[in-house]
Amino acid sequence: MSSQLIKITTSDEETFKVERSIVERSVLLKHLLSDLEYDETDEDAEPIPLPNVRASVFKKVLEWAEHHKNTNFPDDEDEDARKSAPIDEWDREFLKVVDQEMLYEIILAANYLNIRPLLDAGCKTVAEMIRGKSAEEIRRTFNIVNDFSPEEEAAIKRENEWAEDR
Amino acid sequence: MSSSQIIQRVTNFFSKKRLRSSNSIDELSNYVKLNDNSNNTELIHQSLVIQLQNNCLLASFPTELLIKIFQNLTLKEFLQICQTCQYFKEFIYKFFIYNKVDLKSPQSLNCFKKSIFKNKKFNKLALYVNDIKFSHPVKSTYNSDSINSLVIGSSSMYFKNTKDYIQILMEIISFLPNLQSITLYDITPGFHFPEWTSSLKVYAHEHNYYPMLRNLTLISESGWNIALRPNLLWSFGIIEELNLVNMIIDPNSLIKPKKLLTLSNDLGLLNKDLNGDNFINNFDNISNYNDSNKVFSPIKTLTLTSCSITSTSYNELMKYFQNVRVLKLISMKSHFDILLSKFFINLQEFHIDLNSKCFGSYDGNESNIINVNNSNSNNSNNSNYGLFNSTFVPKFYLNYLKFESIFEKISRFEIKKISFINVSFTNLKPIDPENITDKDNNLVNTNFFKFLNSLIQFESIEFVMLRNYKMHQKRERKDWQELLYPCFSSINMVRVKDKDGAILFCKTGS
Repeated sequence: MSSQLIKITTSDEETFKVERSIVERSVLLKHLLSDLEYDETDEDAEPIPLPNVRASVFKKVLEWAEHHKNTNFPDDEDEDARKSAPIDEWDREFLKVVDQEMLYEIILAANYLNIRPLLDAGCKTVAEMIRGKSAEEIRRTFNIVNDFSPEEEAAIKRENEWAEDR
Repeated sequence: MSSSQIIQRVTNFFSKKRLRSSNSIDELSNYVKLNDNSNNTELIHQSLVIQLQNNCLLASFPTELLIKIFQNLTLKEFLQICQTCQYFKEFIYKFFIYNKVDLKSPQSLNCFKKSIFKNKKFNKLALYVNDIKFSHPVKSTYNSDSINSLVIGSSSMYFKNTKDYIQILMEIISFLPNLQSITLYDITPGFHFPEWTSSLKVYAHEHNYYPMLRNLTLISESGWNIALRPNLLWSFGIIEELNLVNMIIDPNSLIKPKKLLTLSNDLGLLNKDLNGDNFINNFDNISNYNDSNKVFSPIKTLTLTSCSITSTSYNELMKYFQNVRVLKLISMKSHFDILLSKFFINLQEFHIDLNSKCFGSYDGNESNIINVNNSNSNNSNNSNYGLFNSTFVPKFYLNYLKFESIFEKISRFEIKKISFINVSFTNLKPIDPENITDKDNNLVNTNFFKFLNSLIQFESIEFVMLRNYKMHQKRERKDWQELLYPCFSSINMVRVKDKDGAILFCKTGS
């Protein structure tokens, strides 16, 4: 069976062997495999390099893909389409336990590999981290340094007065 | 200098002076270069990126991903994020807060004006606005004499007296160069734009400059149905798409007032589009000025939501909306409105809301008729309206016989694409076409068959479902094919999308 697996090498030179159906969760790799007419039964087939993804991140992505092996995600046409849909419960837990840096790398990897459902879940998770927080709390959460003078801060409040609820 | 030295230096920089935002990267570059004359720029850059990521990773995200993240948030959060740092302030202003503006009150209107007019030279806020909404617009208290106190400047107008709502509104919209869409909502009866606002268009005419607007939406205050009048439209120049919600279109809605330019092709701009080679130049067109057939609106897409259209206005409609390619009827009040499509001579795309009240309503007498029509059925349940009503069968199919003749007419008009929105196929089952008269077929499925069959001549048929795909009965490709095949022809394209745009089924033409 091992010869049926596709070999993928990450940026830090670690090689993974993955089932085709799981690899194809990535639209990028799916197209790549079909363009290359990649034959996974060929023992000598060159591994596919992923220069933008680290092994630890790729492992997480595979874990996600493995879980969603049988999930049927519809094709999206509309950019704003999935905005309103809530995050899948499993995805929420999956992304909650990783640290911020890993979360970002998963998002970037999902974006690069073109895995829409994972990208959406990642972006929504970051949005959740912002929701309900004050400016100061957001700064602390994301390690943002306040570079406003007190005058500038007052000006921003004045500038946006029209948008405040009244 | 070795790479480890450079990284060390960068780290020193951060310990001395904390990185503020991605903008500081240049500053940092300079700092490192000042202390090193070698050409290790790539290495320097790399270590910078690492350092930046160690500080605020979020700020290092590419624009499209940041937009994707922030899209999930609301104005309340945007107002907080923009106070965190310069970088996010600019970002949130540009793509969110000032991109789509909703002015909910006259106070908001005033405050907004102050914000965009402040420090005119350095103020970029006005450039960000794509979409603006005005709630409860307030009627002008000025009479037409006040036009004398108006001086038109190159980008804005100055008034001697204190300004009323409409004056400020006009100042704002004429100051926003990238404006694409204007919405006026909760319009109260009696609201209109005074004549001087249209005189702007006279100015435009003289200076050969036409304000272009992609989208104008007018929404009556709930509980009211306001009649459309030229004085609600004449301030906005050339519009591509008009949306009317809870409005009435009557014969007076579309009459062009004398001497005032409205959103029509008065200047022959659009004849070019329509007639191609036979382009009538401005001069000819002006000589035809009084020929009402030649004056029509440039609107290409018209959406009517819960609107009443009086039948006496059909003729005016035909003249005025000659250029309409796409017509959308949402929340229709009368199923006869479907016949409107006949009056749009250049119509290519027609959207019908199948969840409109007019398709769902019935009275006791009608339910009797349905029973009578099915009295030949042995299975009395099949003809029982009450039963269908309780089994969540979409009412449209239940009542279809009432609209059948009208739906059959649409296919005779030369429309390429037909789209049904808010569609539900709940509990519908395909029937065998060989046995369409089979007594065992229930009324709803038979009607569904007839409905689909009437669509077969359209080149493109689209169904947009009422709900998100997760909320619908799950169907595989095979199920869709079976369900929809009565409308398939060898050349047409049939697509089913869910409410959010996810494609559930697609059959392409040959």
